[in-house]
Amino acid sequence: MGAHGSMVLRTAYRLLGRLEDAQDAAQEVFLRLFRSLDRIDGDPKAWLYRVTVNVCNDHHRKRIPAIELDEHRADPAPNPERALTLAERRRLLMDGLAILSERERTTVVLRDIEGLSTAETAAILGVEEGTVRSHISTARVKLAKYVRSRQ
Amino acid sequence: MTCEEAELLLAGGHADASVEDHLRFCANCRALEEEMAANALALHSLRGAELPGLKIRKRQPARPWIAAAAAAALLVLIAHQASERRPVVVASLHPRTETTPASVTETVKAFPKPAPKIYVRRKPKSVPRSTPPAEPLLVKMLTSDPDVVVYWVVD
Repeated sequence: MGAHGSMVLRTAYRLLGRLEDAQDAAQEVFLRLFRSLDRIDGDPKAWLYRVTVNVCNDHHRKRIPAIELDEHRADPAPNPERALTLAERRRLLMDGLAILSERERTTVVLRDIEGLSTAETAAILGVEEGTVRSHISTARVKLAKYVRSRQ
Repeated sequence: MTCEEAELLLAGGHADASVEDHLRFCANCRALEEEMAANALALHSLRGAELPGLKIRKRQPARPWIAAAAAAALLVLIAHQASERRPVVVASLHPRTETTPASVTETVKAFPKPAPKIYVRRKPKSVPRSTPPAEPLLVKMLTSDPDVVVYWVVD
C-alpha cells in the first residue's frame, strides 16, 4: 500500500501541481479503492492510475483557474546562452504541464514521467494507442517550446 | 516538409530521412530537437524523484517517556499493594512451646495476643459515570465530492 500510496500522490501532484490538491485527490482515490476492493482482481496499479487521472481531472475542472507564481518560480530573464541545470529544467517542465490540455498533460505524466507504455497509457485513458502517440508528440513539442521561451 | 511536421515526427521518435534533410537546413528545428532530448531526460529523472513534503503522513508515536513513567508508576502501585497483603508472621501464631525458654514464654504472654488478621476483599470502587452509556459517536466527514460522505463510528 505504501508504494501505491506514493505512486498515487506523485501522479496527482504532477497532474495538479499543488501539494494540497494532490493530497485531497489521493484521499479520494483511496476512498474509491476501499469501496471497490471486492471488484479489483490482482494488482490494482492500472486501476489506481485510471482513478487518479479521473479524480485529478475532476479536481482540475472544479478548480478556479489561477496561475500561482511563487518567488522561486518567477520567470528568469531570457538568456539563450545560459544552459539550464537539471533542477531548473524540471521546474520549468512542471510549470509547463499547466499549459497543456488535460489529455496531453495526463499522457505526459503517465508516459514520460511514470514510464508506462503507450498501450498501458491508452488502456488507462480508454483511448486508442494512436491517440496517445498524437497527444504525446504535441505535448512534447509544446513543452520544448515553452522551456525555450523561458531560458 | 514544414517545421510543424518535422517537430511532430521528432517528438514521436519517427525521424526519417526527410526529417534529417529538414534538420540539416533548419536550425530552429535542430534546437527544438535538442530541447526535447533534454526534456526527455529531465522528465525521466522525475520518475523516482522524492517530492519534498509529499509523503504519506505517519502517525508519530506518543512521547516515549510518558509510557515509561506510566509503566513505572504501575509497577510501584503493584508492589505497594502486594506488600500490604503479605501476611505478617507473628510469634504467637506459630508457638514453639517445647523449645521456647521459659523467660521468653513469659514475655510473650505478657503482651496481648494479637488478633489474627482478617482480610476482607474490598468491593471495587464504583466510579460514577459522568454520562450514561450512550450510542456510538457518529462522525460525518464531507469530501469535495458531494456524492461521497465518510462516516466514522467511534465506539
